[in-house]
Amino acid sequence: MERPLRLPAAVAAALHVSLAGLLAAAVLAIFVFAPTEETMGLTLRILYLHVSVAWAGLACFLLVAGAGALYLLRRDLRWDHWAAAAAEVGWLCSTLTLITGSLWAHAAWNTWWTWDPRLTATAVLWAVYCAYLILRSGLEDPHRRARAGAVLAVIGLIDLPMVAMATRWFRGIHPPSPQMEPAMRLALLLSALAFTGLFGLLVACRRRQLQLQEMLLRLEQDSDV
Amino acid sequence: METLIAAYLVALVAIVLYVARLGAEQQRIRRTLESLQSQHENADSAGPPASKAA
Repeated sequence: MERPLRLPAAVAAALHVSLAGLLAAAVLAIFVFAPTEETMGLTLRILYLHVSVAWAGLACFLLVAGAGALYLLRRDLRWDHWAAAAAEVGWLCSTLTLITGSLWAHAAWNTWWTWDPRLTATAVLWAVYCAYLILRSGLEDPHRRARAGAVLAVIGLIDLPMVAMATRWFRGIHPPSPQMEPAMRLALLLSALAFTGLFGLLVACRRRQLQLQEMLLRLEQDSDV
Repeated sequence: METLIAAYLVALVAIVLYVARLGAEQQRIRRTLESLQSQHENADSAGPPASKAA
């Protein structure tokens, strides 16, 4: 039975301290150093959170599909643990993307929702995450669960270019990458890095838990025998 | 201003709830591990099975 991967304590502590520093820097950049935009005012600061969680949601789905594909190739449940952990965190990011986007839309366009191509593709991604999690929760056998999830994730990958490129391929209300002042660009970069680090840490913690759960299940089965 | 606060508050609450869920799951894993450990110790102290002893 393989031991769960664990970083040396000093490396883990250094990573945690760096992440805390990055998050603090991002909060300062978003709320103190980034200039207030003239038209949207303070509401524009939602952008730093919205773009960061949207990016993290996409990155998590890439991980879900990538780990799923590796599971299908190698039949190793460790890849499925990565996929399952990334799907939970990705669902969280995707939900936050829709909520923060909706709040932004209400302030900017005076509507909570519109069937813009980017918004629709993002809603489809959220639905794929939901389907993935519901499908997994309905299957008991770990390998059957991993296989079904991996197939769904690989199929769901079709939606990713739609989310990323919708503003270039189709005409809609959602703006493509806007022109920004350097200070705003820096705040956006810092927040994207900080949120990616935070969600990456959550994925790593959850993956370790899933691996421990599987090891415990095997121990319980062995002790029953 | 209210919209800005609402957006960041929702994100904060969602992340805190997810971390709390991870914490609860970790507690459950620890309890299961402890119960397995005590079962194992009890089995050891009870000695070898009768068929093997015979």
